[in-house]
Amino acid sequence: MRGAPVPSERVIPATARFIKPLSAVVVLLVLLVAPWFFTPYPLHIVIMTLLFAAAGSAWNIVGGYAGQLSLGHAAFFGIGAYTTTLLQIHLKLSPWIGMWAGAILAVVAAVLIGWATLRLQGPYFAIATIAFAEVLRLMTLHLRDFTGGAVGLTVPYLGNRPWYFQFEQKVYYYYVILTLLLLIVAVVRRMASSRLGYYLIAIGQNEIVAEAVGVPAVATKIKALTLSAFLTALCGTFYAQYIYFIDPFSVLSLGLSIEFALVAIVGGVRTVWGPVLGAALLRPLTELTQAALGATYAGVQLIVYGSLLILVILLRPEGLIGPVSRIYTRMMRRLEV
Amino acid sequence: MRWRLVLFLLAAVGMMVALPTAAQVSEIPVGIIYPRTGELARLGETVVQASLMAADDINNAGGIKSLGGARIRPIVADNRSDATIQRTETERLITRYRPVAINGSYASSLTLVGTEVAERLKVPWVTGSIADPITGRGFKYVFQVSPKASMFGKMQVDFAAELLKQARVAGKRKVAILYEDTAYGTSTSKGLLDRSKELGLDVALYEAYKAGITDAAPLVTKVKASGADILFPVSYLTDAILLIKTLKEQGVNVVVIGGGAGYLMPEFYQGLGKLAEGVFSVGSWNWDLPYKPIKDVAERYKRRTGEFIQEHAGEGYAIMWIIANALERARSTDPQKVRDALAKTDLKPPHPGAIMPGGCIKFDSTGWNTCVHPVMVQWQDGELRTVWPPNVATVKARLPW
Amino acid sequence: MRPEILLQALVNGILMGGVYSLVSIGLTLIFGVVRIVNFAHGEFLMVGMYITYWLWALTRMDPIVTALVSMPILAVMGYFFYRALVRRVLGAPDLSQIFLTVGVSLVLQNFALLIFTANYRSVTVAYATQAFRVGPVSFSVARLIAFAVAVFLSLLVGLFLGRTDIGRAMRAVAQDRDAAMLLGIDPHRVYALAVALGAALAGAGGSVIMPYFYVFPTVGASFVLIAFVVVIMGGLGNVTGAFLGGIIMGIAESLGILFVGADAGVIVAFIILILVLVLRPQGLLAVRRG
Repeated sequence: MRGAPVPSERVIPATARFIKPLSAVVVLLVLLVAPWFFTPYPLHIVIMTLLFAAAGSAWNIVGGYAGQLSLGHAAFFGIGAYTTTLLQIHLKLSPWIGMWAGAILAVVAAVLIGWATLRLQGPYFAIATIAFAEVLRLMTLHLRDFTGGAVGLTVPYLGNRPWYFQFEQKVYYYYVILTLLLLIVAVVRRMASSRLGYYLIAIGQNEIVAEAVGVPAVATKIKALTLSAFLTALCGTFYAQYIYFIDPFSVLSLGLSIEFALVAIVGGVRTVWGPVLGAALLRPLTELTQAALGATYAGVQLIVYGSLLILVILLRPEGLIGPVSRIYTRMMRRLEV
Repeated sequence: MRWRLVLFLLAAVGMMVALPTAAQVSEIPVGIIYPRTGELARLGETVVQASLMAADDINNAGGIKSLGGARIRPIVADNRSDATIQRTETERLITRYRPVAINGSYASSLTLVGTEVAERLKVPWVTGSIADPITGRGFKYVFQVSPKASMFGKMQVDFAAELLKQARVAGKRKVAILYEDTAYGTSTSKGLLDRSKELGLDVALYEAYKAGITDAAPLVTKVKASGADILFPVSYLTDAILLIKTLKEQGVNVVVIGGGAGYLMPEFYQGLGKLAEGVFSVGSWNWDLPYKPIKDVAERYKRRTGEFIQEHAGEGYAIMWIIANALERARSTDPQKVRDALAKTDLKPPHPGAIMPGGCIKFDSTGWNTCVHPVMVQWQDGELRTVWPPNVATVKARLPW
Repeated sequence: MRPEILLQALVNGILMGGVYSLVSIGLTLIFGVVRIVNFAHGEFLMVGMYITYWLWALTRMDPIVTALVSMPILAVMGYFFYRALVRRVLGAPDLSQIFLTVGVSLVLQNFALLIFTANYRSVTVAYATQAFRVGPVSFSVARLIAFAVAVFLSLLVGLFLGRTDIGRAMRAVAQDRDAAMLLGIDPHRVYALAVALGAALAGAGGSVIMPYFYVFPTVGASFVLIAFVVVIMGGLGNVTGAFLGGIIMGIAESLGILFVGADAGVIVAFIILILVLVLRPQGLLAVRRG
């Protein structure tokens, strides 16, 4: 800023102080008003994007910050989806209450899984989480009298009943998932600059060193896993209520666990907004390639998807958030000047 | 020269005015949503092909006459064998193309999801899926042309009793039921158990197994241990082939009465050859049913795809004609009116839509086709033939004992 | 329970286990040497199966003989897989490594879907349904051949690692990369060879199971999960462990089906895995070092 005029330098801090909150308010307003201008199908894409952004952010706590590559997060998602739906079917309990029961059950599962596996390193942990999620999926298939087995469960159709998480208009589902996403992002943000966050990053970078300087590694990792499981289960509840139908394949499969992780990786792990960016790129891409190519060339869209994943990992292993946030800072600076 | 130019311009303007209005009435979008990729793609694609063929047939026969010969425009969507994508694709199909009706999705779990969406968006959905809940939810916009899952088991066990009677074998009363842990297997096997008990047969084994086995030997050992005379396996193609091969390998002598699905596919015979001979199965449709339009359809389908037309494909073909018939009577492209017309459907042979076993197509208040029943088939000399019940049988069953 | 049924179940388990072993040895070899968990391993198996299918369909070549073709093809594929992709993520976090192979798996699976469609394809050979009996127990010929080939190849791999210079170099790299480099071993050559060998073994697995199995684009998934379990049970990177793990896995699955329930085979296997991980995370065969 050599040779910048002196008077304006006095003005900059004042406007700069307003620009951030102001743009946040503008973004929030746009987020609140925009869905009313969408037709159902694009709105659906937006909702799925927000859902995967939320689940990816929850995964990021364990998979990103703590560096523990879980490939079993579908287990927590499924626990949330199944608990809520079963409580609603058998006890007529509103999903608004059931969702917390599902989240707490997921926490119990996370403590169990964490206790059993979080002493394991790297690929051992990844495969152990796959095994746990698979056992849960197979048990769900096996206990068909209770869970409906492979037939799955349908959420009873009640018409427009907001107290039962059912809305005639799609836009309300949008507000629910937007709230959930903002909640999760806020939690991650807070965590990132808390003692837990610093511990996790230390563990994620080098666990042995972290333990040597007094970080209680296993306890911290279990804490992260329970937090992540809690939030993932809430996403599962939303999924069940929004799609109306769950079965072991759709909410407990390995493919789903992989997708949560993908969103975070493509966007950028260990960052607050990485998973959101990842979801914003991948979900619409999936939906649009599906719409454009799905009916003609079977499999093409997944080839594109897989190739993109490979390219990101080889060329931008830190995720796409890097360049995007650089552009963002540059823009901010330009606004300030 | 100049008047020619004027005439040309006039003609051009006239065409520009005429074209869009003509297009509006001359093409009626009908949704066709099936798995074309993923695990269920194999059969999904056969239904798509048969449905497209039906659309061509309808258009070649003059389209929808009450709408000025309007043509059916099939809109094909792929749900990738995935319930979540089924939700998306159904919604996209409906909001983007405004179809008057949807033909979909053979696999029951996918149909259950798709119809949830269609019910909310008030578009009629005609299906060949068999799960009982499809028309058991009090929905107004769903029509099921096929027999229900709960009827399959009864048909199989009754047929087994008939075989035992015809063969006059004494002391063979032990049956084993082995079903895959999928929606299809779970929903059809209950009827097998109930009916076997009703008829006083001795159920020596009744168990689910994990679909997609890598080895059938442990299952076969289990069947062998049960000492069953008749085996009712419900499985998809791959498991079915492994099971039959391994039964032979371990020298287990049971009569196999398959639960549809894998037992009806061309690959079943290709994969097993002579071993497939004599294997029975239940099915919701077959290519040799004694209804007049089927013969021609089956031949043209074979020319088009190189294989015989399978049960779901046959249903898909019928569904397109049933929708066309409803359009004809509705005289409208309003999905609501088409739905009302569908509810009043009453078709009999030789209408190309009335080719389901039982002949007629008539929906009850839940949307289920009350005329229909499952059929029993047997692999005979490389062909899948209908052998029971008598009203649709085209050849005699070859007795196993 | 009659004893011959139990005996038959054990035989079933051991024969199936042989194939699990073959697939798992390739996986564990790649992990042991290159330290990469290959999620695309199931797809290598799938490619091997398609090669076998097409050779049989076009030339009626016997599936077992096609292993001589599928192994070199897969070896070349594995080599390029290493050179073009894996090499670039060697020092990267687990995350990049695992998801790189997940991406490859997605691409291969759907490429197969695009060109071969989702149809199930199987070969028909005379011995596919033949079996011979020893007392009340029957041995399937096709399975016995697959088992024999699996054992033979496993022994060969063992000999290769123990008796040849390059094999010893491979083990040296697996144990301590830096020390191996000091000894003048080029790790990249060794890595490429290990991946090629691992892929070739998956290809052989694909060939020998074709007489009694079938191929479709997603066939790898059902094997790769079991292979993971086997590899962990045996200790990641432990070839003997993977071999024994495969057999144990086959037996566990077979007995699980007989005693627990027809759909419980894999559940039993996964529960064993979790127990192993909790109690002996270094694998069943690992010897405490130091």
